[in-house]
Amino acid sequence: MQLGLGIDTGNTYTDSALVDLANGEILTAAKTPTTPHDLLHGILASIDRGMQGMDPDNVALVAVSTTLATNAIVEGRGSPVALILLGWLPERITTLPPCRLISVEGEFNARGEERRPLNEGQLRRGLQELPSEIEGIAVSGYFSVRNPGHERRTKEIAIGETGLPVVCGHELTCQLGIYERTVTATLNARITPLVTTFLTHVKAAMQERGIEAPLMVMRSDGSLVPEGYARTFPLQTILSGPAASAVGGNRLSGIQDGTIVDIGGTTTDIVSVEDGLPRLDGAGATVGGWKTRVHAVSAWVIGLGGDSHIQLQDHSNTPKFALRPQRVTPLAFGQLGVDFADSPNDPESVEWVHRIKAWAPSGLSANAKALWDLIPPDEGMGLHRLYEQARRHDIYLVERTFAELEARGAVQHIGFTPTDALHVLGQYREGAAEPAHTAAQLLGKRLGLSPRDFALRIVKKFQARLTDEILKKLVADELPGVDYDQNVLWEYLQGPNHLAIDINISLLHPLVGVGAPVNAFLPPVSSALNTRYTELEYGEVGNAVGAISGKIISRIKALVRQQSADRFVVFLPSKRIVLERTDDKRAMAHALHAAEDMARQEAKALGGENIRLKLQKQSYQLGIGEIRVIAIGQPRLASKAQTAVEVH
Amino acid sequence: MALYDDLKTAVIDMEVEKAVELTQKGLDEGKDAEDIMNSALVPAMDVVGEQYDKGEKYVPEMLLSAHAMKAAMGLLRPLLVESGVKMKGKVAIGTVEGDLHDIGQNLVGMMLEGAGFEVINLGAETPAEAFVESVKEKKPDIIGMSALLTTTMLHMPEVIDALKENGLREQVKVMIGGAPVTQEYADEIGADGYAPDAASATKLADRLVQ
Repeated sequence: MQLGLGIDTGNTYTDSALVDLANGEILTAAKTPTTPHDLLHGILASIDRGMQGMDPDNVALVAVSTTLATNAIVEGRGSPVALILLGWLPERITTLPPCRLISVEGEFNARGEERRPLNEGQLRRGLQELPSEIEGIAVSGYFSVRNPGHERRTKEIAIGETGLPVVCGHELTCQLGIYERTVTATLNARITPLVTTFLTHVKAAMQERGIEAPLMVMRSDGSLVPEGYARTFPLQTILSGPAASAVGGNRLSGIQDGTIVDIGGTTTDIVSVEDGLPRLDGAGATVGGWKTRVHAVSAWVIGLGGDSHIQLQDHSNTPKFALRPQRVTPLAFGQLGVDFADSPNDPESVEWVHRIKAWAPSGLSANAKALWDLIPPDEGMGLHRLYEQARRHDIYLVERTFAELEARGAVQHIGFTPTDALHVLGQYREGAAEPAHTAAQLLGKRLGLSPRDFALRIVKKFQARLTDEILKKLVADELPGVDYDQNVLWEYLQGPNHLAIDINISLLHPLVGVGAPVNAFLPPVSSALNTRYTELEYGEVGNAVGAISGKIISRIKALVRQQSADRFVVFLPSKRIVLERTDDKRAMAHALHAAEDMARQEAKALGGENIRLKLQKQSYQLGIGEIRVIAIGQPRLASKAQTAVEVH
Repeated sequence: MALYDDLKTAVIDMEVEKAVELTQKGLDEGKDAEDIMNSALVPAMDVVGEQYDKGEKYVPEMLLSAHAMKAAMGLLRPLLVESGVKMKGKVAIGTVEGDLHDIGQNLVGMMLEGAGFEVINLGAETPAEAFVESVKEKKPDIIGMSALLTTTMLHMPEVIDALKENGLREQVKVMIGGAPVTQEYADEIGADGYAPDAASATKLADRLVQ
């Protein structure tokens, strides 16, 4: 028996699924809380729940997807790194991620010919002056995708001088755009230690449970890569979560074309599947406001999830509730004290705060530290009591200061969430029902609604937002760059009263739901969009199933350019081939052969077997040719030759 | 307006000195520089363009008309700038690397000026990096590339690549022209437009800055 264990580490939950690799049958599915302060512990718990006592010797493959890298980038976290720029500087340095900059002469032109040689003396001097806290180096050179010579040489010298990990722009993408390549390489260097630590924890957990199988990681394009590759190029995994939703949704539903909606605790990810593969974003993933060149699934990520905070805004005569993008712990799962909801007129009395025990209060403002000190270390306290005491202790801007504690991960905030609304409606049964009912009664009363009507109102609002975002995502796929905030037609179409226009929107492909609360939220959304909804067995662990169902994929693009009557150049990732005394047919044939060869080699190096090649594009006209080849394989399993593969 | 009709005819008839003289006369009479340009010079070049389309005029004649127009514009431009009249847009033009045939692109430049564009003439044999520099420094709305030979035409995609490498492709429209160039080629290399001759180049530029 050959088993595959898929693990998805999300912001809120870590999901696991055990699959019989011979027939694809899903044997177990489990959800455990993600423990950001103690990753190893959370992974062990997830493995144990997933394995359910099965023999670890039967596990032939472990595959993970994780939002760890994304979160770090969104929150601006990363290790101190140096960036070596060759032959180019941005107009303003502040447009780059934080780094220590070394500027060195040396550049190529669009044909990949050297315009200015690499100034190695300058490079060595810059490297020798690096402060000791630098943990990695990124290298980005002008037109390095037309000729990687300078980046390669720089890497060689930098490794020799410093011994630090070095990553080059051309290793991460073959697309033009020096700025985006520079951002990509720098972010990659910044998150390398973080992702390496995570993968070391996973390996340690596997070892502790006696699992000796290859570990693979889901890349942002929905394919699997070996652990070693993910350590070197961690940025390639930034959208591994949404990619896993796409692959899992496709695998569980069998739907070849459709929209997959993954409702998690913190975010909802909307992705499309086309012809059985995730739809990719042509330009590259944008994460945390950074435009990267990472080849990634085209994901629409919104700050709306089962654990989004529902807050009553009680400041005016007509109280309203808002779905904040911030995640809180649902009341159903929180540990609450005796004075929970003891002030019926105070909406903050249905919220509770705990200190995070593993968190050391460093780097806080004096105000925030004073607020933190007011929280009893063990039992926590009601938010209304905390605010009261804070005012008594002259802590100013209390709400903003509390937000600072939340953002720093210093406190656990428990409050009313869509998950609790489902509890009130009897559509969700895990955890404790009582606090959700109490809170719905208190909050509903402020709005003049029964608890049930209050819960219904929240679910409806959630669904309306989902419907809107699904449409936006599908339109954005076809019309990239549409600015909805300034789109008059969109506003109009969404408005309630159209005198002369009747609007019916029908999605051509079905909706598929992945994630725990999807079946409660999505059916009315698909009715509103006039499409079919497919309810999935094991949909709640769709990402973990996606991770273990990933294939090995290598995509190679070759460009052919005529440079004079009988001279052609073929540009491949990391390679430039000059062909003299030839013609267009021979140049294209050469390029095709080289691209196929490279795709097959790469798929093999990425741990694939049974590799199939597919020619996706082959065009030549007037001196310009392009070839796209894709190689798809199955991940090599443990029982076969288990050789470690290094990819560069 | 008899003066405008005379000025228009002077440009169409390629009479450089007369065009300058009449323009000066108009200014002396207190006419507005913008009005002279829009009511006489631009319509004159429209007629020249039509005549060229119909085969009634050839390139040398069109050049001479454009020259007359340019000379008249020499008097008007300082006044236009002073009064803050907005030009239609800014176009940087040049023939690509290795191509020294700049007659056609000069004609395009003059026609564009006549049509109310500000023209930056990068001249013959402009390397890709010089196009990039001009986009960075002068921020034109359009760059126009010309090539007369099939061998030099091959440098056009390099200019587009260089714009992409520098993150400037979205900021500027690209139009191309020259004997071997076709609409197909423009599509293939990802240019925004192709014009077969100088008269249609101004129409294309009009469309691209819309």
